[in-house]
Amino acid sequence: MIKKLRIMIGTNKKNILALTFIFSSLLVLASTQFPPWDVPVEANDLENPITVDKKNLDAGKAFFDLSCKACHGATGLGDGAVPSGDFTTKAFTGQTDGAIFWKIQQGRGLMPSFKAVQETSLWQAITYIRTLAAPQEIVAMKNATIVIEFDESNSKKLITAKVYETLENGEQAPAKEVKVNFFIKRYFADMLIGGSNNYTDDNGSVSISFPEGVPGKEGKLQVMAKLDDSGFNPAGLTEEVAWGVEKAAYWNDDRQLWKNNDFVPLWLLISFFGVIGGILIAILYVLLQVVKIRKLGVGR
Amino acid sequence: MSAETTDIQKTGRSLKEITSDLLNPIRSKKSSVSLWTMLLVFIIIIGVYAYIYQTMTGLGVTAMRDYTSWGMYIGHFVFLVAVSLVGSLVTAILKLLEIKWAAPITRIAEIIAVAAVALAAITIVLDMGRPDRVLNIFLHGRIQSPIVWDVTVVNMYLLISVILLYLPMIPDIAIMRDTLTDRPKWQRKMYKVLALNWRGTDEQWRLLKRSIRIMLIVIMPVAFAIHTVTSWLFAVNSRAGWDSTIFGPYFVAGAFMVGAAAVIAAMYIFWATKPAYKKYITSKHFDMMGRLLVLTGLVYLYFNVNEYLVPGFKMQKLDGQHLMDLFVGHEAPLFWATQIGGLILPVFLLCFKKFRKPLPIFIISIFVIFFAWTKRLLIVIPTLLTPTFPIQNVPESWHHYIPTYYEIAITSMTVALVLLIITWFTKYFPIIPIWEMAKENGHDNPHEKVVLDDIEKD
Repeated sequence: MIKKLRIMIGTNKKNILALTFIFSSLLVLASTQFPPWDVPVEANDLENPITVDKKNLDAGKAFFDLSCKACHGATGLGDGAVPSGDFTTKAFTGQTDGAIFWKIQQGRGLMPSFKAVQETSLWQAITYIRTLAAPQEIVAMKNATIVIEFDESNSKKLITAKVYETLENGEQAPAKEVKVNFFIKRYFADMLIGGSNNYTDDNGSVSISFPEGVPGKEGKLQVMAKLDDSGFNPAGLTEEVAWGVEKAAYWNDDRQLWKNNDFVPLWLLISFFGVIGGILIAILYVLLQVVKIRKLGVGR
Repeated sequence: MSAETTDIQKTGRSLKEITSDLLNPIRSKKSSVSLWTMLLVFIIIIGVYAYIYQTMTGLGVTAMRDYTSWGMYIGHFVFLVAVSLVGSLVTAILKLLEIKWAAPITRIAEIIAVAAVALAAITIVLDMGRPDRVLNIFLHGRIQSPIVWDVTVVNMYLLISVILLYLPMIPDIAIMRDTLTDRPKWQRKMYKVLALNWRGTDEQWRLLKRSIRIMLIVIMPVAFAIHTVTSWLFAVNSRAGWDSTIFGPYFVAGAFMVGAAAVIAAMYIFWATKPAYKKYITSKHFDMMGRLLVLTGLVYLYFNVNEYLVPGFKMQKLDGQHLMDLFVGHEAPLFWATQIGGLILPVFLLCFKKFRKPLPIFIISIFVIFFAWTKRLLIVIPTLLTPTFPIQNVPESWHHYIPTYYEIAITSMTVALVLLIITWFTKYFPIIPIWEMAKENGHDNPHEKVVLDDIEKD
């Protein structure tokens, strides 16, 4: 306990008051300490039924991105939104796949239970998670660059991404059969376009048709192509294209409660500022009286 | 002492007695920090540390999760807003109705209002994961959002409350400026600036009384607005327990009740700790405030019956789930303790005169205040745990809400700050209005400036 307390003190940056510090350190300890997580023998000995190949790794990564990344972080260091397990530590990698599988299914504390998820998905996720600790040992992670091309012909808008992998000798070659996702930038999460199942062809290029009627300021849209492949380091590119429309089809200029401040309903605008204005005028008037009171007393 | 003042003495206390009684706590040479203040400061230091940790780490240190996204902080915020409403009840309503007995307790009500609403505003910021973005609500807030209305009205009410605390205090500050000459320099300077050259002339009185009257009228719609808008933060959502058309008056009624209890509790503490105050705050005040508490309690009870009986009769799916949780389910012990201990029993007991004596009514008021606080939590949290779609595939702990030590420490800090503001205030300003007491004892003949004449002659 005392040792742990020292560690806590050592890792914290600012000591304000020793007393309150110990107090809250105890709180942290109380809220984060878990007993050892014992895995039943039969679960521990369970073997991963799937093979380590690109298809499974991709599926595992997809599952990881959807269900694990938010807390455990993009690279599995446990540095996501919630303090969570680090997938690169010896303590973690020393476990059997079966033990990890059992723990994912069980859940504990803030870690949810994944019993409802298909077992295959979990095994694929475990296979992918293993690559996070030692990427090079399982799959050599390669680097790639992306080029985006826009093509508008016959009233059809096509967006093409070309992926080039960097070879060991430094040259670039088209990357085949790698997954590319396309997005349009917007507030909060970006908008996925063209589905999530786009792989490059033999020339390393993949095309999707661009959706019509997407609203953007002056019709301009920020389009992103992101390499999303378990064999490559992340790569992406953002380009601007004026393929959008100024206003969406559903848009009108009516004043509405749900719109932004440029479209406040008039009745609300008048009531809101009317009330505030009235009160402020009353306050201002009283303050003027106060100033008068002050002047009246001068020199007496 | 002049002949006039001896005449006046026949009708009541002399000015000298009143000023010396009411300024005594300020005159006191005891400059050492009391144990009470140290306790408050200690709680605040712990709270500040917890808050720094919360800001550095994120709101994950609280028990708020996906479902309970509003927890103890927001419940506490509603409670503080409710308490602050007392300023308008005791000061504005009773004063405008010219209810004379309320004069000695108006300032107690006003300082409670100022302290509570100031901390209510701060509590909203404490609930933010990114407090540095608080200005965005003014820069980019949508006028259509009730949250913007709420922030606006809370600040407005704070401003008006401060003005309404200050204006009636000007003549008293002038008295302190002229009599408390042995105080430290900064304190004398503060009195001098705040006294605004007050000499008690007819014209000054006329202007002051008019200003006070305007503020008394202005504060009432704002006071109703602050708590109605706070209730709309909930009522504009179509969720079980919040989707109610009477939420505004329901909140206002509850606020008047807890506010009255807060004044009684504060009144008792001043009454019990400062013997000189017993001449001004008498058993009559406890009796009358007790009656007021019964009245406000009955109104609140009436709204409670409406709020629970009507949806309870229909028992629509989610409403039913929510109400069953309150009546017989997980929240039942707290719910019934709150309704009985904080509403039914106090109203019943205070109908009897012997419970309106100082000590019994003080104890009852403490119960009313405590259960008013739990009531706010019961309004905020169970509804969040009854979402439209069932709670699924989340950790077990997300099904419930139990505040963490951090939330408790930070919430306690705001309570300590309210009490510290009131404590600090009583060290530098008379908590019972001197000139109003003088007036009650017949000293406003012909003008209030006799107060000064008298003091200058001493």
